[in-house]
Amino acid sequence: MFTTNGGLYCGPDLLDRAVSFYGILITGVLACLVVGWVFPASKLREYVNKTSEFKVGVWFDWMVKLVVSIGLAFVVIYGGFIPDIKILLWWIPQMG
Amino acid sequence: MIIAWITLIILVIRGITLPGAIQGLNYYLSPDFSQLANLDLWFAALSQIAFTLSLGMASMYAYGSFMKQKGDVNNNALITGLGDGATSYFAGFAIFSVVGFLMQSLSIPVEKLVPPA
Repeated sequence: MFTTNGGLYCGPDLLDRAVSFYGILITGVLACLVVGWVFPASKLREYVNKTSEFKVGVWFDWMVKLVVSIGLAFVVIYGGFIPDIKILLWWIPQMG
Repeated sequence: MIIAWITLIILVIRGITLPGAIQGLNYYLSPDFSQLANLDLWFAALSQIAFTLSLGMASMYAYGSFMKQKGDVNNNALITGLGDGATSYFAGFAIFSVVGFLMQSLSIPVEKLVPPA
């Protein structure tokens, strides 16, 4: 299908957006939030500090919890997440 | 993997010796701090860093399964992050010196040649 003329949009454009946008970025945001808040990043930081030459301070926790999550979420929202949701739910006004 | 860096060094040296490369390098190296308020710039920079550092691609889990229990994580992370940034910065030299050469040989000002982000 990807080699036909009609399916040419499916191959690179659609799959690239699906994997690289929804797959990687949203997975990254969720992984950062889970590792930051649920499995607290301080546990990770203490284990890593025990076995390393450099020690990282408590700024690592706040980076994972806030900065990386908000940065990647900004990339998701600015890259067209809300128009995609609007297109995905086009059938809602039709039902009324 | 060292071949990649050797090729990059050869390209940078070839780029710098082109005539007119200095105009491109001036455009590259002069900072424009008013662009920090431009959201498009943040979008491009953040997506670039997320993709070159392989943030969501589960490659870290795969690489991590081969490390020793007492491996030195902080050292590796620092070298990876800073080395990636430095290689990108160095590659910009090769690219913008060729842009400068094009600027001179075709006599186009830089705003028409470099498309706005």
